[in-house]
Amino acid sequence: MLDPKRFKAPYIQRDAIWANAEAVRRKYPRAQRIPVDVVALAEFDLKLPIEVEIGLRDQCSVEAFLLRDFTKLRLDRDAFMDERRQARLRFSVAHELGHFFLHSGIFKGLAFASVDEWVNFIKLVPDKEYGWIEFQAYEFAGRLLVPPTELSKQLKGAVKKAEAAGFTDWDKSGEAAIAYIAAGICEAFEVSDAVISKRIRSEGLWPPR
Amino acid sequence: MFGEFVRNIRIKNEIGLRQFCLDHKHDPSNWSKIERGELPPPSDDAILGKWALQLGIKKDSKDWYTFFDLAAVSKGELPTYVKSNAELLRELPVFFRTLSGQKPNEMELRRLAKLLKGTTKPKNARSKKI
Repeated sequence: MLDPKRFKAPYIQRDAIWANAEAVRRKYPRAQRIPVDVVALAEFDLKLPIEVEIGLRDQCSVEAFLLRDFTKLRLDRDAFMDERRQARLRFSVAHELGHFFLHSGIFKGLAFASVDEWVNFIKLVPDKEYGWIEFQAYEFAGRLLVPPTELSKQLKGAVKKAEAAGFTDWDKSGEAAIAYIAAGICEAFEVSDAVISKRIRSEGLWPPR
Repeated sequence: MFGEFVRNIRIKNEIGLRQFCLDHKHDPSNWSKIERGELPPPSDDAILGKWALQLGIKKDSKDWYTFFDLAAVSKGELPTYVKSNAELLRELPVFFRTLSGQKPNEMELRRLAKLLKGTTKPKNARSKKI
């Protein structure tokens, strides 16, 4: 059994994470259309069955996870059906696809003899290492849902409108301007404005030139 | 067998689980249990016929008869609602998408194991018709 305290997250450069997301986009036409229908991508293209469970979020604070052998994706029922939470649901699915594409080998061969052993394993994996794995899945999800070329196009349009209304001081505008711009373009990608703000910065598109 | 067939038909016809449940007013967690064999199919042929049509199966087609045959076989099987320990231990996840972005705590992990095993009735479970 792998000693969880010694677990090290794999080092995957951001460029490699992005390349993975772009490889998925190239392979599946569904991922080339905006907004990217990641749920259909999982169900129909990747043949990754989606299963729904009541109480995951309310009782366990968990909205989604992959079964350990990566053969099925389990989602919280309320998160799955609530129309107001579809942006978050889509990101959750994309996030799990990040694990699917990036992390399938990490715990390969791992077996637990009891629930106690599983609980202890999860508890003892260092938070910092777990955080790295999560970061990688977030980065994959963001890149898959928000392709940079389309983001750049949408951003230019939003900036043009703001400048036409008299706003030009992007460098000194702080968080308010990026939040305003993100709120204006997040609908096109069906993600939250927070995801768009992160993507704009991560892709090096801020401040607008 | 029945559940797997139903899922395969739905996927083949590119009907997403969410849209299918919205269109036909199925509870997605119950439908999901049907698809993974944790709930048996209904014994009423009229309901089965309705389901077959909802899945896009043409009446009197080969799939139509397979659907009814598998339903008949599955009716006699014990539903696998409560998993064996071995099955549960194979499924327990290592990555989680959580509300906080942090790992679930010990209490949440133990609740999750119980939910997956099928020995806990979720607090917010509503008895809905499938």
